[in-house]
Amino acid sequence: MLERSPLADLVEPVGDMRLDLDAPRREAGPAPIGLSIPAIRLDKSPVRAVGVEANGEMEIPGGSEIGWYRWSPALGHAGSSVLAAHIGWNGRDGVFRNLDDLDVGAVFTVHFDDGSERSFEITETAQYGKKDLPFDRVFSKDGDPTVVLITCGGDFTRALSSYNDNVVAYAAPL
Amino acid sequence: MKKAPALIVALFSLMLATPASARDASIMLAHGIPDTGVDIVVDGGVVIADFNFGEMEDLSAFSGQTLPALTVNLAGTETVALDLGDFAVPASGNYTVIAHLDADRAPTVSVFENDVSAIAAGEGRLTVRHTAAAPAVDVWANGSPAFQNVSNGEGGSADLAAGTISAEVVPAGVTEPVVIGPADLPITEGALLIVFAIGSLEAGNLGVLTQSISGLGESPSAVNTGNSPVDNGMDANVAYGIVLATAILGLAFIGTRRGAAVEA
Repeated sequence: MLERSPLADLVEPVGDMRLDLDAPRREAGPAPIGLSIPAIRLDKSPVRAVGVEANGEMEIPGGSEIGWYRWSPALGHAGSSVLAAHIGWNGRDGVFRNLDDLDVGAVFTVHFDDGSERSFEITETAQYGKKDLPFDRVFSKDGDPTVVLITCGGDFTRALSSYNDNVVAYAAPL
Repeated sequence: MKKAPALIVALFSLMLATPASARDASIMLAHGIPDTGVDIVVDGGVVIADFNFGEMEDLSAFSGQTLPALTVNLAGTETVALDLGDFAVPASGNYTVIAHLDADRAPTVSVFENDVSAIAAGEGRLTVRHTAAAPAVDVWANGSPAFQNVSNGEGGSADLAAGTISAEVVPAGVTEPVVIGPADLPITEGALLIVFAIGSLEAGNLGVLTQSISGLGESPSAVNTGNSPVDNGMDANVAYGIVLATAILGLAFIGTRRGAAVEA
């Protein structure tokens, strides 16, 4: 029998590579379908899962719906789960028209497709130039469970049909 | 003979004390030979004992080093199944070193570099590796050939929309028999899934082993949430009302002036 090498201490077992491909996938949790923010008079505003546009931007639904970024963690799980909606859309107010009125301490509730709901409290608000949005933080896939509400704000540049800033509210589970 | 390994450990321990960024490497060792328990032996000492099919071990601590007289022995014996000589472990990059069968059913070791470059938001990466004792194959995904004429030791890689794909492996150039699969593969956003075809066609134990590397995803490039202006402190419909009211007043004023002109 050969002796054990002291080098063995430096090797870390990683695990089993025999993925059971037929096993049911880990459930991602219930999907968000509504958002209530009493402070800005949103009562079960519709939420739907969205992804990425062909140009790499986050997909945003029309003016009356809120997009949940499907590639962000489930709401309340580790990392940053992102809910985005328009401030103004085709000449009308978007559902996040008054997001910048929200203050730290405001509470909102997310409604899920299994009938459950979960409340979050805003811990920080911020406004960033579009290019200065802290993407790594807003779209973080780990760290403390955070929900990010995001819309546009600041000056409107007509030539680009776009706002110059993003308005962001960070929230923690209650 | 007894002191040499201790010296090596001391050197490796020194290296471990350096910042992680100084050894920016991930080196995984995978066992892809069915039914063959082995020991990994360095310089006459067992570094990994009873290493079995489907297991993976992290060798990153050895990155940039040369492991002297590396052999793969049948578990618990001095019978050398594979003699790899002095084995240079890559100093940087992301690698999977896999013990597997070559096309002729002889055990071998291959070193594959993994593509861990950033993956666009909404996509995942699939890498396939032919490490089985079998002729060249085609890999089909969702009913279309994705990787064609892949021989033992070769592979392919593609970034795909996140979701699930149905994959199957057939001999190159034909559509049957399906030798592996069909299997649903999870394409996870921001993650690399590496699928190794392993085993032996002749022995009837072809299968797959997988390795997943996450945290490669990029964020969306922008969040554009407004294509029309809103007036600060004034709801848009109120603003439109004011515009409308102003227009009516203006028309009324012009009407009045016209009336005055006619009268004059």
